[in-house]
Amino acid sequence: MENKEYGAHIDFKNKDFLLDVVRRCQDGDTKAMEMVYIGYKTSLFNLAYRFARNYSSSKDLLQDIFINIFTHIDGLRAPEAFNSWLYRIAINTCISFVRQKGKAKEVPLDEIENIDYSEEVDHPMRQHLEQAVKILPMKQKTVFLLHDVQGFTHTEIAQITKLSEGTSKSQLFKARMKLKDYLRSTK
Amino acid sequence: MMRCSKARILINDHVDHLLDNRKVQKLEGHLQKCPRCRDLLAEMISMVNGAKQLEIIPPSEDLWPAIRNRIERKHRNVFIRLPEKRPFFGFSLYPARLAYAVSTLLAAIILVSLFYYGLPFIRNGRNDMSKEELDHLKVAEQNYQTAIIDLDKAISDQKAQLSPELAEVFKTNLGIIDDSIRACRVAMGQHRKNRMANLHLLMCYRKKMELLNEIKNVMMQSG
Amino acid sequence: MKIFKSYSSISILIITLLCIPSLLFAKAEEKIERTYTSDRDGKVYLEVKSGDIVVNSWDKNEVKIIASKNDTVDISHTEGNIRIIISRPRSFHYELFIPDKAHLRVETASGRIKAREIGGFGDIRTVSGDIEVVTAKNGIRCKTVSGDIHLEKITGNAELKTTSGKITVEGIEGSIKADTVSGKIEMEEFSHAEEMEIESISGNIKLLGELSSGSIYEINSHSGNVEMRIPSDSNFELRVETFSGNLHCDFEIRVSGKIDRKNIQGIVGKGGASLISSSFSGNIRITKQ
Repeated sequence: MENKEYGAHIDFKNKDFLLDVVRRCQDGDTKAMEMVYIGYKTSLFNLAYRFARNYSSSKDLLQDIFINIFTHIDGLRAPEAFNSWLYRIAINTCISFVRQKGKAKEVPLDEIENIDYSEEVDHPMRQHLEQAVKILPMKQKTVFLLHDVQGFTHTEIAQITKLSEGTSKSQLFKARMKLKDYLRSTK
Repeated sequence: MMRCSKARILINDHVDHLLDNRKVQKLEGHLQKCPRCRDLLAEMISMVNGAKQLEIIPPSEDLWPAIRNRIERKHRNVFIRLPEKRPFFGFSLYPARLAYAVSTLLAAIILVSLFYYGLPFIRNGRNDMSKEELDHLKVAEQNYQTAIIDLDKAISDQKAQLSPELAEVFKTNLGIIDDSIRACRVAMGQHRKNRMANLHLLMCYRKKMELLNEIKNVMMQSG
Repeated sequence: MKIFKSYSSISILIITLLCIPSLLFAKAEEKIERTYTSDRDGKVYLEVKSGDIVVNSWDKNEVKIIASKNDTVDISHTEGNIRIIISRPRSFHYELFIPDKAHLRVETASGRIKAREIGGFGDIRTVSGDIEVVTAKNGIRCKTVSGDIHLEKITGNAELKTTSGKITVEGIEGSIKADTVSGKIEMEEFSHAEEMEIESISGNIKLLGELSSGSIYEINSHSGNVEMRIPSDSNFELRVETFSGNLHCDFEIRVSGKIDRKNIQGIVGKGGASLISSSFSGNIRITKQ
């Protein structure tokens, strides 16, 4: 999975480096934890934002995600599976967060802080799609965000979510059909 | 001629370049004749491309100091580690027998039903159940009763193997559960749709089944 | 009469003298010790038909069993793990020493089991004896029918089950699952639980500890009473329901659903933890520490 788009300048694709960082995190090394934070913060923040549905809740959710990652990291028996394990923790944290908050109020895009949507005038699809993703049920949203937005394959999604590859494909299909119907209705 | 329902699934895979040449040709044959599916393909491609280009939103401030402080506070307390759920040793103590296998299967069906139907009831906050919910509960109740009868039969032949003290403990506790089942039934006589009464009845059935299973295991162990 | 009394005294004396050898024999049953190497974090399994078992840990890569010379002992070794099965018709007092990081599974049909300082996961089962564990560092599972379970200083998850025995826990950091039919359940100083699931038919449940944000606490009782005492600054979402019992909550609740004498649903403080409790006829009380 490519992390380049999210500006990570830490090369977690280097296996030896990744294993070393993970082991140091398991030993409680906060410098190593900070490297994990820097490497994954943007990608996880974007995931959190699309679950939390508003900017300020996303910041709280991102904190919770990293706390859970570093709290449970010494239970990770296979450091080479760190990437899928990390996203599994992130997804589970996001889902718990949404369940606790109940149905969050729909927040109109122009109330969201710190995001300049002036670019959106040229990309109306993006704006509608952001809105549409909010209405997806949890499983469909999870698979859609991981596959179409973040670029994971169905094999990787199966490792992250413990769904089968077949279920991942069918959830993606349902998500896309739902989004397509929503986008048609807003035209 | 391919149906549109099948074509839609192939379109989904085609957008992700997952189809082999044979399926691509079949799909293209359908698309030539079906404008609706052609529109669908175009919409899907546009949507998937749009998703790839969704705004990348950076966190506005550095959250690391707050995260580090919380981690360090946790380290000062005891670090919690949850062991993975895995079978321990895998030693099989009790030989599989038909009645045990059947009742275990029934128990699995019941527990899945209870999870599927039971938990939402507790969290929904409604006092009364709908007719559909009551029907599902009735099926679960019948399954429990069947499992309990099977377990009773499997146990009745082997009663002599329990010590008198243990037999008394089991008898007393089965009596407690049966009293609880009766209390739920009386309550349901007056409030048939009451959620609490129905759920607690199921809970009592489950406990009875678990206790009968325990009796059977103890008998097999001492046999 | 005097003669009869003196004959009786002599008879009693003779009978007593005859019994002494058998008493000595019963007390002085010969013990044997066997020691085996094992991995420091290996698995140790001990199954005893009947007898009390005491387990201690030490900082050696060895397992030691103290049994009776009359026992039939079956031992197998695989890859640093040890399995010991002892059959004997009469009860005996066994001692087991295991490495301080080893995982332990110990079973007896009738007998008490006491264990201290288990470093690995502990799985302890008896039918009619009590179970006592002081300090388990990696989670514990305890199962008994009529015996009591008493735990102190547990780290990691705990899964506890009795039919009529009492469950008492003093000091646990981890998730808890506890289940009984008629036994009481009392837990003090619980914390850091991601999940807590407690169920009883007629036994009363008393809990004293602190809630963790994001965790789920589910306590169900049929006719037993539920009493939960938590810090006064706790934040949680609450749902309590009963069919015919009474409900009481010390905390101020922002109601977010139904509220009546049998049903309360709302948020305390900032929310975060989920506290769900139901009873059929038992009372439910949630009070401040």
